[in-house]
Amino acid sequence: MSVGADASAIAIVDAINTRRTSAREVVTSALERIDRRDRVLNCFTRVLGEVAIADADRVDRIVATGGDAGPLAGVPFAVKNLFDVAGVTTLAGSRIHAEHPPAQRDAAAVAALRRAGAVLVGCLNMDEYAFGFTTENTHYGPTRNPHDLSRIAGGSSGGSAAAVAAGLVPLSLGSDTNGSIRVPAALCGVFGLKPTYGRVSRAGVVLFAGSLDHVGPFARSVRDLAVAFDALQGPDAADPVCADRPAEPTIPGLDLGIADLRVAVAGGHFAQLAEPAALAAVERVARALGASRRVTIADVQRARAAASVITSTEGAFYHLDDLKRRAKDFDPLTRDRFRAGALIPAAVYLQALRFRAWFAERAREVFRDVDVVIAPTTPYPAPPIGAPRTTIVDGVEVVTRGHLGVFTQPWSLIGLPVVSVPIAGLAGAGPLPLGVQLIAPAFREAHLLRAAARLEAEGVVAAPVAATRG
Amino acid sequence: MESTLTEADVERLAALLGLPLEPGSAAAVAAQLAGLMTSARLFTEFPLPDDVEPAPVFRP
Repeated sequence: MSVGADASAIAIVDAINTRRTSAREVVTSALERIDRRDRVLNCFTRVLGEVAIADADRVDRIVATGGDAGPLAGVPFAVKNLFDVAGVTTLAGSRIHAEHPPAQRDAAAVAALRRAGAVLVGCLNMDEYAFGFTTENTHYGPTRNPHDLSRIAGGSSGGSAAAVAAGLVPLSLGSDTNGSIRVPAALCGVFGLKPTYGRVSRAGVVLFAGSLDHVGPFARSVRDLAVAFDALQGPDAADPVCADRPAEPTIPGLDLGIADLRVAVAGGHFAQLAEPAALAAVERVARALGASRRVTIADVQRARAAASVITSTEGAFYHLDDLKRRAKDFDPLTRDRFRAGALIPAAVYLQALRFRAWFAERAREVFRDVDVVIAPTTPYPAPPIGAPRTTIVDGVEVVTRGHLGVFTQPWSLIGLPVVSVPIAGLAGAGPLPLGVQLIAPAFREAHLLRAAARLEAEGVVAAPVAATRG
Repeated sequence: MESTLTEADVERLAALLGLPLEPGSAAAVAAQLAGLMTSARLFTEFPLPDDVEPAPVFRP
């Protein structure tokens, strides 16, 4: 039996464990899809053919002897190219890192998925050093949105979202500092999970802004997302900010329903400067979850400004030596933004950190009465590749690329877990999907996945393999 | 009020940090920095209680 592009991760695991197919056949099919389609989509910067086949054969040997090959046995996956992969140079979207030697070992998250039986088939395109929302990478070319090839995939984990949306792989990993999992998940129409800050180890990941960086999975079903998250979560001494708390598996409670969850819609900032389709998506999710209540979180614009300052300062600091010695080798789309970040006064950065602590407390107050908050993921569907610098939304001129993070930045600033769920068929969005954020208090990913599972079961959200246009 | 930064301002700041700027690049860096500093006023001019501390390792 062959496993198609639309097979979920858990369907693949079941087919392999019941010998209806083999891991080798599944991985070979994925490699063939990548070979056939990625020349146009440009999701992959490296494909691991022989290594992947060897890993698949290892899974098949375990299954053949009656062993347990893991909860992701034989599932092909790929990772944003800022995750270390043993034997592969970690590009982080840059030309500069292409000169680095291959990584000695896998990043913790890559190793965790491999331990769970998943088979790594390649590394994925991104904005240089994760500094962008579009994956219009000058060095490696833009990743194209599988729903419309003339449009961006979103970023910075654009390759990760597009590869899953196009059915090249059922599962991928990305990172999120200001929205870099959620924005591409929304624009490509897949599920994306940004876990709580510190929930998943970032050891072996090229950081962008360390005090804001998270890693997490993309998938086309909620159960796949939850299986991957359960494999990823847990303490890791190798990441100094990884939380010292045991993993809390989400799969056992995934179908418990939402009767005990208090759900509210974010108003104010989160209902402004967005196209009607983005707000209609929120209303559709709110209706399905029975959320009639509105909550307003104060000072969100200040939070967004603090996130930008922290990101720019920390990001510039990581790359300061290269900015001094070889600025010409940076992507023109990031170079001057990094240099500006290097010049921010220390007092401004420290005040941003103080504001973050204060804003986190305001959010905690809101979540005393609410378990899940609903907000748009992006204010509009995927813009065209090479879009003009500014665009008009709700009668106001905004920066086209930067405004993509207007609803995601405030939540990552304070490290809260967020799932972006995909919705299509919205008036005004044509064939393009949009996303809706489900946000919970710290370490309550299980609430989000239960709510997402309910939405998926009711057919409100779905991530079918994209029917490519353009 | 928008932050105003001249190319000369940026060149002096960059020199302080030992960050070379190739000829013609200061204007673009100044525009980026001015944007950041303008939005930063949203929180630098916002009064916070004295006991709010930055979190060196942020734990939500």
